[in-house]
Amino acid sequence: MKSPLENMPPLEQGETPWTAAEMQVREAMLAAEVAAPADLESKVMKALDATSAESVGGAAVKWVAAALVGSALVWAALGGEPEAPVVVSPQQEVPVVVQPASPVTALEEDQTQAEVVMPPSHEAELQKEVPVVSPESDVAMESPARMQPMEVMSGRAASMLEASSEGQLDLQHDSAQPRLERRPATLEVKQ
Amino acid sequence: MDQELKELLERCKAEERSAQAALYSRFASKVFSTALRYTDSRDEAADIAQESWVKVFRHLAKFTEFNSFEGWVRRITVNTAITHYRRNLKHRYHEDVTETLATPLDLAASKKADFTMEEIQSAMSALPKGYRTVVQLYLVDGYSHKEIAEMLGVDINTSKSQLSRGRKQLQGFLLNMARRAQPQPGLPHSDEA
Repeated sequence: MKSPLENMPPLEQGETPWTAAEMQVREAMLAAEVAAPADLESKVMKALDATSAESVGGAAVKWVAAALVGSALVWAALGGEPEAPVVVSPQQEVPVVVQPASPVTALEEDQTQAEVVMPPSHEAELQKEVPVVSPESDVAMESPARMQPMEVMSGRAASMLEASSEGQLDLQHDSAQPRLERRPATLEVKQ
Repeated sequence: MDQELKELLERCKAEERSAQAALYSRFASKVFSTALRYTDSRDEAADIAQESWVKVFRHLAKFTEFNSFEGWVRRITVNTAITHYRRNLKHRYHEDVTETLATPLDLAASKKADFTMEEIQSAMSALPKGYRTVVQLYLVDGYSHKEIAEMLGVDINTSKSQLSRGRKQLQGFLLNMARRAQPQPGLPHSDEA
């Protein structure tokens, strides 16, 4: 005859042997059958339907998404123009609108490109760094720049002098700023 | 495995709804009672059972006839119940454990077992949740300490100590019931002959 202890889980060293009460507990618990709630079956079947619908739906969504991406790629390859904003990858070329250079930029270019040969005395004057004086810096700091004589201000590039004579430079100045005194200047240009 | 069950399982694998309903009817009370062993409420047991059944039907292809189908279903149910237990553990307040440990004399007395199902269920549900879970897993469902430690996310020694304390408390409760049942409790005699 089979001993009831053979059905019991093995005990580790030091653990007290199984008692008859524990054997009965195990047998009773394993044999127990409690009637499930009446609505559980329908819940299980609904849950099954939901999980199968989820899996089918998930697969369908993936296929539709793949088809959409594929058709968009084909359409783009055929040269279609999207109406909606399109995310452009760094590898793709993006058309760039080039705006005409502003007058100020043109003036600056003139300054850098003009080749004007001046007399040595004028060149020496031009080597001097001309501090820019603004009303704000006047208030903010007591710098030696404030003490610069007006003559130093006349040491400007020839192109700037030309521009100032044509009234272009005035466009860059604030009307509130004090106007500079204009003096006639002579400039010798070597051919 | 009997032929009828084998055919039923094959039809269930083909997702035949009538076969699924028949399989459910055959094991519904087993699954529900297993779920009920690991929880205090019938509602939660119903949730565990429902989740278990969905897993059973979804993973039926993995079942081989070399295993006991009832045992396979029970393991799925126990695993689902333990998942619920661990989830609920975060929201559970500390349980006050009233130590009603049995003495060696009590242990000898409990060797003479003649308890009703209600008494056993009452004694089991009187155990603190932690002890009860380990006792259920080890004593009833036959998991090892290593498996229990992995399932509950605890140390193996914790599993061992909880089983030891749980067993003593369980026997203490059962003995109290036995004493109450007898009007003049004398020293219980051992059944070891």
